[in-house]
Amino acid sequence: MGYDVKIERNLLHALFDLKGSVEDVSSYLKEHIGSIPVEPNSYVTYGNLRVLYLGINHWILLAPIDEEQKLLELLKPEFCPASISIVLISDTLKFFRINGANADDIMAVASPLNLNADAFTNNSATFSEVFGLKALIMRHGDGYQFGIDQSFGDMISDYLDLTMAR
Amino acid sequence: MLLINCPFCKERNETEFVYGGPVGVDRPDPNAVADQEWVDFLTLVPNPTGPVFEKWWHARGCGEWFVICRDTVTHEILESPDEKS
Ligand SMILES: [Zn+2]
Repeated sequence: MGYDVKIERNLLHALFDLKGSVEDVSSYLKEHIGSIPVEPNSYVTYGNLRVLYLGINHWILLAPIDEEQKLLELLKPEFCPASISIVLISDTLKFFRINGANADDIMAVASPLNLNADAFTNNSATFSEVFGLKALIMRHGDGYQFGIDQSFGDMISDYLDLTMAR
Repeated sequence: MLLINCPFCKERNETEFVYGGPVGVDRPDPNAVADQEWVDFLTLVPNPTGPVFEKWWHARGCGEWFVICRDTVTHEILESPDEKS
């Protein structure tokens, strides 16, 4: 008996790593995109763009990969205030999307994160583990999407196959 | 299995964390203390049977370093960053 899931593999997103004080990052992003999320490990959405609050003084801006150039021109990392840093990191993470009736079962094998709906809500996003690797996890449709260091993309793909074959 | 209370992420599985060792005494000025005190600072590591303050790094999480107080006998976490302030 197999798992009822659909997996999309090794996807790329436009990713910008933002660091700085809440005040400085908040005022720069407000000017260019919108308000930053307040709850730790949550995100806010602006169209097809998400601002994720992932650590003290750490945010990631996530968008479709074909928006990367547009965002570069909008955010102007090289001209941002000296008190914050904006770094393009799109090529550092590869994303996997797991959807379908058994998405929870696959994630329960892959990650120790508490993914119950009340603990990990629709606008949650956090770094945790997937198959022992640091991973950026969030919900996607009726399932999940997670990003891991790009060099482990093929390995994680194999692990998912092994998990589904059980 | 420990559940460790990160100041940013709240309760998470211990596998997400890296142990950073016990919290030692403050570094003395090597020129101002006796040799024995300096050697003690360099070589003596707190290793009690019972509560000990220790550093943990949420390496596969938000990346924060913090201090918890853990009982080495029961593994019970007696104090988390949340409860301190
Ligand atoms: Zn954390």
